This record gives sequence, structure tokens and C-alpha cells, in this order.
Amino acid sequence: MTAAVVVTGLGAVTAAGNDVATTWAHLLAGRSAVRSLPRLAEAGCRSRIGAEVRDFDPETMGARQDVRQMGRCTQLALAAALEAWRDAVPTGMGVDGTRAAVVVGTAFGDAAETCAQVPPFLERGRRGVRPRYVTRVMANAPAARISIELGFGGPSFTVGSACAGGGHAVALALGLIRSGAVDVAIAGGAEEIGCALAPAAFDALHALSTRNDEPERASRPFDRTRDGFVIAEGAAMVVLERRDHARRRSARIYARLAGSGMTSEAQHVVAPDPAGAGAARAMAAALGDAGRDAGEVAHVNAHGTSTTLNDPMETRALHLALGPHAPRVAVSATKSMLGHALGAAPAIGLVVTVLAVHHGIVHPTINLEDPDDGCDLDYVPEGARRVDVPLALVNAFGFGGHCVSLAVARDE
Amino acid sequence: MIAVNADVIDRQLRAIVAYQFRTVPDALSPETRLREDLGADSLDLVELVQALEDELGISVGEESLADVRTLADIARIATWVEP
Repeated sequence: MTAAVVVTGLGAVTAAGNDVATTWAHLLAGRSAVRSLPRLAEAGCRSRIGAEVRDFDPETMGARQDVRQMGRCTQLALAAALEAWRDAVPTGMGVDGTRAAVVVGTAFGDAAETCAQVPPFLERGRRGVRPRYVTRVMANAPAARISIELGFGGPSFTVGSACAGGGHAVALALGLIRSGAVDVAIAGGAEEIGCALAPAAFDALHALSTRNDEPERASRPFDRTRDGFVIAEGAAMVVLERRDHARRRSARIYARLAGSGMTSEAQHVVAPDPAGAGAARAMAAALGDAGRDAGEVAHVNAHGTSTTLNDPMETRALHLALGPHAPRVAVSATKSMLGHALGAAPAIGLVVTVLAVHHGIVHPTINLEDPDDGCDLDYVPEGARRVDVPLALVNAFGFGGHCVSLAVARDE
Repeated sequence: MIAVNADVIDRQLRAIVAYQFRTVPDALSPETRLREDLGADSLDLVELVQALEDELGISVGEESLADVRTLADIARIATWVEP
């Protein structure tokens, strides 16, 4: 029988707050964290808004390592990981570091470090290259820094699957624990927009909202007048643990990570399959992996990006995966308030969903005033709602056709 | 190339080293050992050499890093970079 895996720690740094409690309160209040972003205007972007992490001082996280030697993505990842670990293991006791893993997902990681390194390189060649460019830009930097900080001696690595990254990270960590390779894992995602390069690229793709005069109303998943996603940054991490291991050390259990589903659309590199087949297969796979029925799902944390193509596709996929049960499921889009933090978004969605299961309350989808054709589900537009959530799904889809769905269950 | 002014070493070198190794200039002396006292590794030393070149315009050949133990050693082998 497959070992039960539970969530015992949560960490998050988002545009809504630099910890889980502040972020959660902000989401329940139904407030947007999107603001004007002059950096994008200076870069000539059509979209001049974003949801950036504010007042984040990496020196205050209490890391043993020199945080100045890390890029912003890695700093955000480490801050979220430390919060999650302190939440799960307040005493620092009772966990064998050699049996602990780290898996982090990201779209761009600290690729922005290249922005800073290229000009001196072009000017001076090798003499202009900082030796620490290597350890700052490497895709595995977030995982490595977390492993070093916490003394985790099991497997540690970064996965890249664009905006599904944090979802793959959690799914792979679940597999590592089930396989018996480790007892504990920290998993999640991280992304940064301190450098305007990646936002400018999405702007060039015409993927971003240009509702620049109303930043707080710009991200409007499933609404008829949505016009693209709002770029964002942040990080979120969970501590996953075999349930018997958590019980042995009397850890607080938030919820059970009951299953995961990973699929690929295998079609277009950007456009989602309008039929939603790949996304639906991921949800069905997550339910199958969890050994649960679609009828038990009470809540879905949607990918819900506010792009023209995603929202009706995801709605169709929900119909496919949940069948007649889809209309009575409360579907929340976290991105309506936090924007789209790319590879971090699935992990932020997971943290929020774990809290929804734990507390029996789901946050709203804001800015949904006139549901678009093909968007016919209950997206919780009116405000936070008390819902008994025995089982929930978290959806994440990424450029490249990557689909991940995670099943979160109340631990019973 | 000319020898580096001793005052420059005393003040600015200590400021740069202090910043890189998260201490204060007053805690450093010519006898301070980079590896043993400050915990420098090989990457730290290469980075220090670059910072000296960028900020003070002095050059310490990376090939002579193996002989550098203290701040005084840096001062001794540092040379102005040709403009």
C-alpha cells in the first residue's frame, strides 16, 4: 500500500505579504495585490502593472548563508523554505537530514542574473565575469541553497516546466517520499521579476493585461473583459512528510497530499489545447493516484490566469474531469489577486488550498463581474466562503503543454 | 606599474574586505588571515581580487593567490592596473 504523505509546514512570500498568515488574510479579504510597475513602463512594455513582493529584506530571514551571494529568486525560495521548515519543525528536532529532499520548480529561476552579467562581459570579456555568476544563475541554485541551509542530505534539484514548475516539484517530492528514498521533503516554486526581462518577453507575446489604469481590476479570470495575465513574483514551499513519520514526532498535520497527476498536451508550445484534454487527464490522474472519486471534490484552486485562452479551456477540462459534479465545486483563482507568479504559482496555489482544506474556507475569485461564454462554473465571485473541503485539486499548466494537478485531502 | 600607496591599502582594502566578509574595517589588521580568520574559500578570493580591480584599480594576479594569506600579503603584491 502506498504510504500516506501529509503537509506539516507552509511558507510563502507573495505580493500580498511576506509570510503565509499575511497572504492568507489578504486573500480571504478579497483584495488585489496588483499595482503599477514603473519598471515595465521604463522598459517600454505595453503592460505597466504587476504584483511584486514588497519590502522584502533577505537579511531578515535569519539564514546562515550570505544571502547577498544569491539572486532574488533564490532569496525568495529560501525565505519561503525557512518559514515552512520552522512551521513544521519548531524545535528543529526529530528529523534525519540525510532522509530529507528539496525539490524546487521555476520558470526562469535566476536567469535575470545574466542581465547584470552580460554588459561587463561584452565590455571586458572573461575579466568582466564575476566568478559567482555561476552559483547565482545555475538553475539548481534555489534547491542547493535550501539543502545547504537546512542540512538536507537527500536528493535536491530544480525542475523547469514554466508555469507548472512548482506543481511538478511537489509531485516529484511526493514520489520521492512514497518510494522510500526520503521521509521528508521541502517542495515548492519560486520566481522573481526584479529584472524586467521576462515580463518584457511576455509583453512581447501579448500575454499581459494592459488594464494599466486599473491595476487592481486587471487580473479577472473567467470574466468576459479579461485581457491577459498580470505578471507577478513570489515563492511558496510546503514541508511534505510520510504520515507515520509526522505522527511519531507529534507534528501538526494540515492536510494530506493525496495524489498527483502529470500530463503533456504534446501539441503547441504556447497555446493550450482548447478541448482541455491534457488538463483533464492531469486532474483525472491526480484523483486516480489519490484513489478518490470526482464526486468527493469540493474545491478547485484553478490555474485561472485571466488569459483569453486558458480560462474557457480550464473550465472545459473541469467539466471533462469532474463530469456532473463540476457545477457544485467551488473554483477559486488565486491569480485574480496575486497575479501570475509563473513557476511559483502552483506552490502558492497549493499552500492556499491546504489552508482551505484545513480551515474549511475558500477565498474568492475577484473581478469576476460578467462570466464569459464557456465559463459556467461556480468561481466564488462574492467573497470568501465557508465550505467543507474533504478533497480539493490544485491545477497548474505551463508553456510547453505541461499540466499538473495535485489532490489535497483532509487528513482523516 | 607602480607600488600601491600604503594608506590606500590600509583604508580601502579594509573597507572592501570588511564588506565582502560581513565584518567591520576596525576588526581587520594587516595580520588578519583571509582563510583562517575570515573563512575565505577560493571563490571568495577570486571575487576579492575582482572587487579590488573594479573599485581600487589595483591588480592582484589570480596566479599569485596561492601565496596570499593575510591582508598585508595583498598589499605587498598589488599593483596599479595600467590605464
